[in-house]
Formats: sequence, C-alpha cells, structure tokens
Amino acid sequence: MMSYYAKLAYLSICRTPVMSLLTVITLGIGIGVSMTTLSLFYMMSSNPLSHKNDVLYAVQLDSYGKNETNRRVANHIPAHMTYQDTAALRQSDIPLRQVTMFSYGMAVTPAEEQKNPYIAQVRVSTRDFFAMFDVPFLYGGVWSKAADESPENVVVIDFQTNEHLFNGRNSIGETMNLDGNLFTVIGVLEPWQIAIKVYDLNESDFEATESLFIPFSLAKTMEMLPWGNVLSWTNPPSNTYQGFLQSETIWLQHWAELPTAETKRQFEQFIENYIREQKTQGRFQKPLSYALSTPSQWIQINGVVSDDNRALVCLSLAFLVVCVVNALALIMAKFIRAASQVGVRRALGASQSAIFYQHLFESGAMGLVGGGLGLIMAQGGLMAIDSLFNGQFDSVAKMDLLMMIACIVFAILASLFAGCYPAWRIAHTSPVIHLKTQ
Amino acid sequence: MWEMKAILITLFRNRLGVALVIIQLALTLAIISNAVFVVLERNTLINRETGMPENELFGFNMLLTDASLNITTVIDEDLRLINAMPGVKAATPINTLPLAFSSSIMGFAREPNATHGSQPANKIYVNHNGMEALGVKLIAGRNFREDEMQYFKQRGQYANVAIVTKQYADRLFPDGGALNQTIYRHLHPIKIVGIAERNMGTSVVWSEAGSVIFFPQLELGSSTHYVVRTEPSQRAQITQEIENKLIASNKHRVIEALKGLDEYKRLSYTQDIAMIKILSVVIVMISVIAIMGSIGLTILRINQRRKQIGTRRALGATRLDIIRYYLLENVIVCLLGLFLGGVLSLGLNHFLVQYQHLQVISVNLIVVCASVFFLFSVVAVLWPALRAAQISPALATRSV
Repeated sequence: MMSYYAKLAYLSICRTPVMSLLTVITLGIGIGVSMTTLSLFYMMSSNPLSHKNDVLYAVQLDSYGKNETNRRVANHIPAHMTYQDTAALRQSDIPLRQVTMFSYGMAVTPAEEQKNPYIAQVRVSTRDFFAMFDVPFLYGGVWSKAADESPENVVVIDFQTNEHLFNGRNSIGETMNLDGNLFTVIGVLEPWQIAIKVYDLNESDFEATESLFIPFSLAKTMEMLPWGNVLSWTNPPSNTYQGFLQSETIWLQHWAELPTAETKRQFEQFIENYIREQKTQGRFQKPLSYALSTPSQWIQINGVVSDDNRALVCLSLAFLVVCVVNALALIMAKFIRAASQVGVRRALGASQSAIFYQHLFESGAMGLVGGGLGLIMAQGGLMAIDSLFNGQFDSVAKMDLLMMIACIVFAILASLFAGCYPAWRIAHTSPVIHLKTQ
Repeated sequence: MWEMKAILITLFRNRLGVALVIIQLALTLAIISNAVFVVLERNTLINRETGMPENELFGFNMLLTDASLNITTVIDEDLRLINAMPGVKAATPINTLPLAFSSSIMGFAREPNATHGSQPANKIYVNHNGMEALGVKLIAGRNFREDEMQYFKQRGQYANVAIVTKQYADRLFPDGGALNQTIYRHLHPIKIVGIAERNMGTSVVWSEAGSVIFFPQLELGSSTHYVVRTEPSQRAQITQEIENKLIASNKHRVIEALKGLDEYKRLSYTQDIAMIKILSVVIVMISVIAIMGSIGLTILRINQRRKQIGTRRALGATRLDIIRYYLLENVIVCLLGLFLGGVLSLGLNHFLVQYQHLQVISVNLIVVCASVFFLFSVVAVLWPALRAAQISPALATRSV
C-alpha cells in the first residue's frame, strides 16, 4: 500500500509543481527558522558536566554587607568569595576535592626570536581543578600538593600552546617566559573544549578554555589581581596587597566535590558553623545565606540562556505557526485542484480512509522535503548567527545528530498537521461533485 | 450597500477558509509589529550619543614583559613617539578603554565618610591631554594642568582634582553648582575643576552609563591602555604602523587589542546589532510568506468561482463590478484579520513585557504596521481581481 501511495503522491506533486514547491518552501522556511533558534537554545542549556552533575557544587557564601545585594546571579548571592573564606573552606576535609581559582592573563615571551610575545589567558588554581572537571592530560600531570602550599614556578599548558611554542613535542621539564619569569612545564593537556564554560560563567559563557594553568599559591607571591570581577562593599584594611587579601573583596571562584548526600549535608553543616563563627567577629552581616549549586543549576541561575534567546525561540515558534497555517491553505488548494481524480477513485471503490491516508502521505512527503530544506537553512542560519555574534557562539552554534533528526521529524509532523484537515475534507466530500463533467 | 450582504453571506458559507486567512493575517501582524518595535528600540539604544568622535579614536593595551622596567618612563617615551606621528592629534594613557565592556565603578559623595547619598561613577584615569585625546567637550571650568598629574603605586587612591560629566554632576548636585565643589571618597577630598558635556564611559550596558569622573592620574604597574586621537582619514595608516614602531622602540612588551573605538562600540552592542539583523530578516521573510500565501489563496478562490463570475457577467455585471466585488471582499477580510491582529499584537507584547523585559508597544506603531500591511494586501489582490474580471460571460452557458 505504501508504495502505491508513494507513486500517487509523486504523480500528484508533478501535476501541481508550483503549489507543491510553494508548500515545501513555506514549510522549509518555517522549520529552518525554528530549528535555528531551538538548536541554539538546546545547546546553550545543555550541561557539559552532566555526568558529574550530582557530585560537583559551585559554592557561594554571602559575605556581602547588610544593605548590599549582588543581583548578578539569580539567587542574589555573589558568585565570588573572599580570600580568607576560601582558605577557611579548604581547611575542611569533608569534600572529596575542592578548588579555588581565578582568571588571569600573562605575557608569554617565546624563546624563539621570530615568534612575537602575546597575552595568554591563565587560570590560577589549586591542583584539584583537573581532576574535578575531568581535564585530560597528554603529557605529565598536575603539580604536587607541596606546590599548592609553597609556590613553585610551574605551569600546565594546553595543546595549542604546546604546538605553538614547542612544536608539539613532549615539553615536560622545559621552561617558558611568563611576565618576565621562567616557569617549568610540568603538564600538557589534550585538546579540550567544553561547550559552556560552566566552571567560570563570569565573563563569557562560551569563551575558550584557558591556555595556561598555574598554582594558586603564586597569587600571593606575585601579587596578582584577577582579570575578572573584583567587587567590594567596604574598604580594605590597607591599600597593600596584604590588605587586599585580608579584605572583604570578593574575587575567587570555589567548587567542591561532594560524592554522597551525607558528605553534602556535612559540608553544609561545616559552612553554617563557619558563617556563625564569623558572625561573632562582625563579618557576614546578612542572615545566614549560602548556596551549593550543581552544574545544571549553576548554568541556569547564571542566565546562560539570555532573555533574547528565549524571545527568539518564542518568535520563531510563532513564525512556524504562521508557516503551518499558510501550508495548510496551500495544501488545501492543491488537493482541491486534483479533486476530480479523487472522484474517479472513489467511484471505483476506494474507501474514505484510503483517500485520507493517501493525501496525508502526500503531505508527509512534502514535509520530508521541506524538512531537508529546513535543515540546510538551519545550518546556514546557525553559521550566520555565529558570525553576527563575532564567533562567540562557536561552541554552541551547531546541530548535533539529535537536533538534525528532530528537525526532520518536526517537519514531517508539521506537514501532517497542516495536511490533516485538507485530507479529511477531500476524503469526505461526496465523489459525485467531482465526477460531473467539469 | 453595494454587494456587502452578498459578500458577507459568501464569506460565511466558506467560513473555515476565511477563518484561516484571518488567523494568518492576525498572527503575521502580531509578529511583525512586535518585531518592528524591538528593532526600533534597539536602534535607539545603539545610536545613543557617546560624546566621543569614535571614528577618530583607537585604543590598545600594553603589557610589559620585563617587570623591572619603570612604566612612567616607558609611557613618556611612547607618548613622545605617538605624538610625533603625522596625523595624530593627541594621545593619553588610560586605565580602561572607553566603550570596551569592562568598567571600573566607584561611589563618591558630597560629605566625607558618607553612609548614604554616594553616587556611583565610572572612573577614568587620563593624563593632562586626556580630554583632548578623548574629544571631550568642557562646558564649565577648566582642563587638567600638567602639574596636577599624580602617580600611585597602590590601588584605591585618587588625585585631588577631577572633571565630571554633566550627568554625574547632576546626580551629585541636583540643584546645580557642581563646579569647584569638593566631593569625597571616604575621607579623601576631590575638587571638581571642570564639567564635561557628556561621555558614555567604558561600558554601554551599565544602567548609569554616562556618569563619568576623570582623574589626572596613573596607577603604576606593569600594564596600561592607550587612547590615540587622529585625523579620521589617517587613522587606518596610523594603526597599521604604530605597533611595529612601539615594539621597535622597546621590545619588552606586548601590544594587543588594537581597535578603533567605533569597532569596540560595535562589539559592545553585538547582541543588539545581531537582534536587529535577525528580526529584520524574520520580518521580511514573514511578509513574503504571508503575501505569497494570500495571492495564492485569492487565485484559488477566484478559480473556484469561475462559473459564478461568468454567470454574473452574463447577467449584466461590468468588469468594474467584478473587480470592485473582489477588492471589497479582500478589504473586509483584511480589516477583520488586521483588527484581530492588533489585539494579538498587544497580547504578544504584554507577554513579552512580562517575561522578556520588553517595553510596552505604542498603539501608533501597530496602526502604522497594520496600514502598511493593508496597503500591500490590497495591491496584492489587484492582479487576481483583474484576472477575474477577464472571465468571459460565455462560461455561464457551458454545462461545465
């Protein structure tokens, strides 16, 4: 039966090429536009750390002043912490791992004269960063626990930096010049990219990962100031770097790995005790306020999917509705044109449901072609949007297999929906009308 | 009146088809009017006056790779070199680049150690040529003097004089008279020696953008930014040569992020510019689809009624009567559709205001969009109507 319907659909489309083309184009454009915004939305809300979603937590402590509210994150708790608070949290052995880190930049002077010095993005972090976020090493590994306490000039470099400075060889033990100081390479990463930079949603959500990683203990010795957000609601005790470290300035990001519900509860208890104890010293003036967020929660409360994205999704769905309504009208016109055929077939014994299914099949076939067109359009649309945003969306402006299949399925569903009523109408009109010598 | 009753009855008999057309018109209008509204709104945002001649300005960062170098000596050398280049009007070191996303915001007050009443300002550090380099126009007071320049090793310290924008002056002194007043950062007094007409500052998204305070100072460290003002026709040439010249004079540094301030502004507004472009494409596409659909449908309806038209012509209707009939029919359907569309536009806008922080649309805009749409549909139906008028009355006599 299916092959007969297919043949009928093909013949019918050939007989009304213009109408069919218009229908296919209408559906294609509608699907193309919707899939562009939907893919973007889907990729932006997908969680690249989903496999660790129940053990990793972004830690927030609200040490801000009584009358100050930091609204950048949806739970109105600042995303960063003070130096002393992160140090206190690192004292706890309840979490399996913890990491304190910030974003920085350093000037790299390559050994070879002909290569220009450049600024590299650096992550200054304690050693657990790599284990917690599953960052793969190609050569070497992370620095020792000792390096987290007493500073050592060591660096972990990413794959591209290794290619650029050391021609891709095993560069463990070699040195590089950062900000005028020599650092020893102790680790090289495999090519690593995550679609959404979950561990640092402060600047750009889809920014490339850092090129260099150095131990957190160096921050104090090199008097580093972060290249990210630095906020304070009150004065530091002095204008020196030491004063900065002792101040209420928030500038550090902190994550904890809590493998079980019990460890999470214990850590929460630890945090609450710490805050209460700090309150007796006049800090943490707000009522007890802290949060532990999983990566998916963190993505959501940091507003990775912006209002504009959501508005575009709504708009494109409305656009799709308009296209489906148009397609419905065009399909109706198409079927009525070929109605005399239907009359003959009904007279020869075709049942109403046979006519219905045959016409539905024809709509579905047009939907399939429209879906293909829409898929091409969506790919083009995503590339266009990425270039409009200057490549910011490189990591998310793409369609994975699920989205592509969804595109075709969506198109077929839309065409079936559009073709439903016309097929029903044509199947239920009396065949006599169409048999007259029109 | 004319054939109103006949038209309405015919429409009613084919109510599903007509309902379809009305819904389609309504949805299309709702989408188009809201899209146009957003485009206009964003456009206004982007075209806000920055107070700077962006096409004459460019900025870049400079980081020393040798931490032992004295940055003030380096900067003096650099400025000497830059100012000697033909086409350069002025140059200044600066703490952050204007219109380039990041900003430094601090609160200042009228009283020392004020517990409330302090107003936030975007703080910008320049040298005594700063106002000229940024193209800032002073409307009161004076520019900085060379001897007022101060150098600080530690953060959080401020010079004794400042120039503020009029917007910031009005925030601090709503009753006026800000010139020569003293404001405070905690206990530190700062005298306002000049008032600038306007300057957007370093961030375009800050809610108080335009509240700027300029200080004649430099923070000593291993990096700085520069802003250079040039003759607009020479800017491209200068930006080409300047990096090599600076590296040639001192190779212990990295020069990066060299861009014109107009390009930085465009980058800052990336989201809004993209939104405008995307919405414009959507508006065009949806209009094309709606008009294509409407022409197609009209042709279909006319084809279906060939016999009826032929009969009417045979009974004495003139060609003009036929054309008028179909135009009128289209006008009625259009008006119904656009009226419903207006209601839907308001509804959609209300939804967007609630959930997407849009502004409330003006009814005028909806009316304008509807009128344009109406015109287009009437014109679109003209050709099928003319074709219908050509139908021969002989059709009535055929047994078809």
